[in-house]
Amino acid sequence: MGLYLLRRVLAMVPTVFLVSLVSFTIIQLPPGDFLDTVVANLSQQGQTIEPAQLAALRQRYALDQPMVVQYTTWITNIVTRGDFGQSMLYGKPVSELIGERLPLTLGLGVSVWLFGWAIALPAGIYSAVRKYSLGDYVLTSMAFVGIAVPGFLLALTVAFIQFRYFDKAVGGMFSPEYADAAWNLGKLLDFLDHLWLPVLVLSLGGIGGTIRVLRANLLDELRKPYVVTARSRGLSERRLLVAYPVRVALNPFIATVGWLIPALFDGEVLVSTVLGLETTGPLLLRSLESQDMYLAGSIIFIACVLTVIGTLISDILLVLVDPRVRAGYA
Amino acid sequence: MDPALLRVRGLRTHFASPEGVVRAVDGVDLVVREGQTLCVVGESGCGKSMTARSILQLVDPPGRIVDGEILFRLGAPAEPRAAAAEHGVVDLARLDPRGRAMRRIRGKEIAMIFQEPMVSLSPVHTIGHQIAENIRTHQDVSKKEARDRAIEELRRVGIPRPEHRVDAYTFQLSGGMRQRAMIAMALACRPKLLIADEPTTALDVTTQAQILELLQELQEQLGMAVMFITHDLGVVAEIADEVAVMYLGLVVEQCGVDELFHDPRHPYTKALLESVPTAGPRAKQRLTTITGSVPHPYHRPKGCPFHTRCRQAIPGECDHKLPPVLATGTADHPGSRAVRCLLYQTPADVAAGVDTLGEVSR
Amino acid sequence: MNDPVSDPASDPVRDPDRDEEIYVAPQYKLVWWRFRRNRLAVAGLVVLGFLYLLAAFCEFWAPHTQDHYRAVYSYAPPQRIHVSFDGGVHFFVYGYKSRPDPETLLRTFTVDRSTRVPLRFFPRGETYQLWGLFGTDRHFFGPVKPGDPMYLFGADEQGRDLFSRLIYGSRISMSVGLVGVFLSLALGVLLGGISGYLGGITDNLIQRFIEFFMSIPTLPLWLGLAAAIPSGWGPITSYFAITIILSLMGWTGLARVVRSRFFQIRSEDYVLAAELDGVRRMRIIRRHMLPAFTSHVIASLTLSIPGMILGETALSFLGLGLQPPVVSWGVLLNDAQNVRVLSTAPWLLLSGAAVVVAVMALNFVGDGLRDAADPYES
Repeated sequence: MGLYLLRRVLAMVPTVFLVSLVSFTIIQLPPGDFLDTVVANLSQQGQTIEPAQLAALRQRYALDQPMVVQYTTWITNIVTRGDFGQSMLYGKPVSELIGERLPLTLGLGVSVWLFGWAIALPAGIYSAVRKYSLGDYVLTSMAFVGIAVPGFLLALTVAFIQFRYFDKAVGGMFSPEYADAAWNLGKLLDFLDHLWLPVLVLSLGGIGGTIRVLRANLLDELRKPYVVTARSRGLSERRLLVAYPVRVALNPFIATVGWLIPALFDGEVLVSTVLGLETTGPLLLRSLESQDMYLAGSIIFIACVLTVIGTLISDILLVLVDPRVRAGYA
Repeated sequence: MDPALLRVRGLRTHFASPEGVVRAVDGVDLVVREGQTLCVVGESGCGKSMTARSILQLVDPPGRIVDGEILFRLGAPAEPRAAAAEHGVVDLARLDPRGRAMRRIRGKEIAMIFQEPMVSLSPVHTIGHQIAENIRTHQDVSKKEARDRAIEELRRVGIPRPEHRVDAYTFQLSGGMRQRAMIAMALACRPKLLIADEPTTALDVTTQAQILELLQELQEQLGMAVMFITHDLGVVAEIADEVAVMYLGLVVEQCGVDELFHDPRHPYTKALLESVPTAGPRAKQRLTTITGSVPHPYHRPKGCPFHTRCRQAIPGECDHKLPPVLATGTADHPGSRAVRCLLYQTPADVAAGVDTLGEVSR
Repeated sequence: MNDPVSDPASDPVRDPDRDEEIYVAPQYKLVWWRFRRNRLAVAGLVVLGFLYLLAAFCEFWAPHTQDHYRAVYSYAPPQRIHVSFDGGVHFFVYGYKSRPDPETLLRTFTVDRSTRVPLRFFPRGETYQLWGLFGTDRHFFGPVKPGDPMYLFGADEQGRDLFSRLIYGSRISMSVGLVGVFLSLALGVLLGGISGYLGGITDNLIQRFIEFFMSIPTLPLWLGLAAAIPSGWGPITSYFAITIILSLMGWTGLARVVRSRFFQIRSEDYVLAAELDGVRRMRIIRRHMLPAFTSHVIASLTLSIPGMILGETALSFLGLGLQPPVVSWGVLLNDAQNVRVLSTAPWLLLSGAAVVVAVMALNFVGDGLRDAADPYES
């Protein structure tokens, strides 16, 4: 197991390297280097920048060097000093900006994951066990709708309904009166009141997919002879279901826990933009719109690295739950 | 005295589908006697497996037992462990398939083993876990005790180093070992009846012989009855006390194993025996096959289901009338035999082997 | 198993003639017969056919051209079509009464029951070039008098007819998926095929590459790439740029499907039999292997179109995809970003409904195809 873990972690290195190349490429895509953009922006506002300061920045990010050196400087700054560069849009270090927002993104991700599974797993099991029942039809049709309705559309619709019929403006994670307050019960309740909508919206598509895949997997498993064998030994239906087919049918989900992370970054950009949440998504969007490329590239890079880590977690979990995989590496 | 442990009467298991009803089992009568081995033989699709599954109510929807009795005698006189309340005969067909009563019988009174041990055992649990679970389902023992018993059971079925193998997964065992593990699992609670659904079909010949030997040994040790489903007449000759021959969901003949091979009554049984290659004086003869093929389950013939392929079919009779069961002596008597064929008119004809055409069979 | 239900001979057919027909039917017929039994899939197919027909002749179906505007009808609400039966069947909508709101300066509209706008089939309207081939001013349906207001789905800020724009939008939105999927298919089949055919180290490398691609969150990368499209590019160029960006992420799934099917089929006995008979490699692939997986590939293709449509919608909604004056469902939704705008004109969400309908129809058809893809199974 230890050896396997080591091998898996080492295998991550080339992937992360590739990912960093892609992110760096994106940073370089717009014409000119980012200092040109800074200078252009400043001069638009009637300001100028000291040539000495400019030269210092140019040297720090090796902008006058060939691409390879620029890349090496960029990645070395990240790895050794956690320096992702400077955001010219906010005039702050990128690491600081991301540090402010990433916790909320990840917190949202964990809530979406917990909520999604809490709904989808029982629903999928029910749907498979009571195949072709009324409940199954209701759940499967809802799953289909959940897959087809884009999250941001749902967010828009709910936001519209709240605004129009409940006279409640949707946006942010806190009401203004709690925004700067210290944590207390009131703030917590207020937070939860703002949390449910993004969590619901973000988990819907995933719930739909999970229900459908789990139902199909479980139906396959329920047809397998080992279920009949277990029944022939006198196990009760409930025990039989949980101990055998459900366990097998859940493996693929555990194996793809890591894929929830890219899905989160995908869905979150739109939904947070619509609902005005202070997560990394809208930050990415704003940085792309104003070609603040160090910020944009860094967010993409971090999202990718988190995904790679997620995949690692999935693989480890899969080894833990599935003896067939475990034996393969034993 | 050799009384019936299990008696199936007029069992019908049907599968309803939008395209029509498949009558997989359609009026099966058979008897399994205490401590004896009954082999059920027949071609693929004749309803052997479905009969076996119906006994334990393991038929998956849309299949359903629509008629018949499955009488099982609980708590045999020789078995002191059975509580007084459990004495008597129970009709398994009337029990709720999901109910407690049925579950108490499954695995404890009647156990079952299957053709493909690889897919019939859980892929994600160790064999020890599955055996222990079986024991703990039916008996109040601690986990530790159950595990020790599991090791014992594995040793009994001849698995080497059982204390290690108890933690093995099915995919880590060879085919023969898997089947042994499945047998250990089935016998862990000392059932009175073991239903074996083609347990050796998927194994190579050597392993097959070993498993058959093991089953016979265990049967002797534990004194259980075995209902053995197979299409292999060689296996039948080796292990059977009695044989039930099935054709299209119907038992056409049940008799002792010697009577079957030397003195068959039903034309289908005869045809079946003629289609077995033999060594010896007749070996040079051309092998006889049964003409035609098993009819499509949706086109079940009227009357005797075999009449479309029967050489001795009586036109106007066999294609109209379902032959009744003609049984010699009392059904509980070991020497008795039962036949469903219109060539015989009375049980006496069956006993004598004289059919209506006046011919003495063989 | 002796279970007669799973017996391959027990195909639910009784008529012997029909039996015969089944044995000799070509594969596509068998797939179609099975597909037809899935009612949802058939319904999806009908909806899809309708949508693509709409997209192909959008200039004809739409009562107005996409840029036709009348500022007085800014945010005019949807009208209902009424039928009157005096002297034959007539269709009409009621006109609007409007007055400006003193505070917001927006006009508020009420239905004016005193004016009727008569409607008819094949009226004259604005002239358009159908497929750039011939010009005409006939539309499918619209007001008898070209200038009369008809806003079945309401109007946008500039008083453009949302109904017409939705129909125009279907052309871009529905075709983005198709074009993107074919680009994906080319990449996927090429790399998947190479991977499956050569195996070994090549396969391993390609697989690692695919895994790498799959581990990148799609939307941020799309956004990054889309943001890099120069704003000076014309509508056609940026349309293709967007489809290429979309298909860049979509091909990985297809490549996996192709590869795994390829491996599976290559180990089938009939392929081995053909090999042993000395059939040439290319012929084995063409005659024996391709037919076995085209249906699967078509099913996966259908199932990956929705992702493309949703991708385009998302990009355009965020303003990073297609830009006005190009009309797609995503571009239309871009107008609906603001809750305040929505509360004035909730009908702007209708383009979202169009996306949902299209995506669901594609999912149903894809699912149906996938289930029917293996007609020889069970």
